[in-house]
Amino acid sequence: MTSVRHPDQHPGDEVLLAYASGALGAGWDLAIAVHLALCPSCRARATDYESLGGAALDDAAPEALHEPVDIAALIERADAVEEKRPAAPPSGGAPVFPEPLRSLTGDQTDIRWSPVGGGVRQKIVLQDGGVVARLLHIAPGVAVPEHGHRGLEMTAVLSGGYYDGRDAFQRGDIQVVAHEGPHKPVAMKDAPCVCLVVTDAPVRFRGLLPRLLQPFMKI
Amino acid sequence: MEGDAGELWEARLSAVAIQRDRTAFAELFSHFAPRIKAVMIRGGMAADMAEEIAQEAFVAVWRRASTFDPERASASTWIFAIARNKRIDRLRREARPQPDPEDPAFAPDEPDAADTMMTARERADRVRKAMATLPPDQRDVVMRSYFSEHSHSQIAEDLNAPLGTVKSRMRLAMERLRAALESEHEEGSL
Ligand SMILES: [Zn+2]
Repeated sequence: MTSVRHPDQHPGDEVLLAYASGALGAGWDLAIAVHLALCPSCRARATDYESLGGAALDDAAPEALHEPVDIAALIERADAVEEKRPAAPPSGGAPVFPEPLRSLTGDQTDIRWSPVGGGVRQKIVLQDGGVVARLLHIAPGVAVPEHGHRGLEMTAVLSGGYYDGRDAFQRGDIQVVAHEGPHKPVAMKDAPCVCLVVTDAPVRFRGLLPRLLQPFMKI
Repeated sequence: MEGDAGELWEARLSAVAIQRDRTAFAELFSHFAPRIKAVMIRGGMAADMAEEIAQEAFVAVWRRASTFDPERASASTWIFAIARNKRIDRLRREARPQPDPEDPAFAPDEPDAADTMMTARERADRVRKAMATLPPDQRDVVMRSYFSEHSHSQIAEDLNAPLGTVKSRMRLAMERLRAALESEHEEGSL
């Protein structure tokens, strides 16, 4: 028996297909990779979609290489590659952030957060074109100001959890929201919620105070 | 027949992983490198770059052969995923973020999954069969969105079809694929 998958806490098939084909841009594929590190059943689904690529290799009409390849030289080249080892996990206890995130940011205890007001702190992980990946640290019971987005938003929960008024999201869950109305995640009361949030369009907060905060949040 | 060939390539990958078998590696290369090149060209890549990607992929195949797990993916799927990552690395000039099964924070596969579910090769065959049952226009849209960098609106233009038609074909195709794959998971867990 595989564990029951609640569709709202996992990426949809089109997203996994895009991930498997390599079409997701930087930022998005980080959020999906974090989810896959924590969710064996979605890993199996992603492999199903990767197997479309495998089938395409099997079926492809081979395209002859122009340059003759010297296998011994290729192996020599391979043996000379210095492998970049991922960041060593902190001593004592399992790390909170899974790879590939930890190589980019360090573990949760290494993060130097910047306050953005209202019990919310952030750390920008990467920016690529209009896509921003950021870590958010939301104090227990705190509500992230209600906001809507024009584009896509992916939120991968790393520790603690939040409730968005309809569903609860906990470590390992991911929420993918596209072209939807405002939503207002509230961190659960027992612990801070730390999540990786990827957005593509500027997030618009409703209400005056959050709007004043917006320039600081670089959203 | 597909399955037998798959088994052969798995055996060669294991030979590379365990015995560092150069002949097996050369055989893998001469089979897969020209196919990687073909698939990259189909995705819109220039021929010389596609050839470089095929070589870089095989540098990684040699180095990472020991991480190939036939329970998780078939040989051609594993090699495809490596080539795809090399393509992305090239486009972005930085390594594509990927989960690391050696990472202590990595959630391992469910222990009973391996023996109750089909083998990776059987699963890959099921995906192939599910694709084959799609009506040609739906399959075409899935393959175009999989292998080209084109957006749905560009695909619509290429097909001379309205965007809404492309989107609905994609949606229908994904529904059918999901249904086929979910029945696979359920059958596997019986
Ligand atoms: Zn999942």
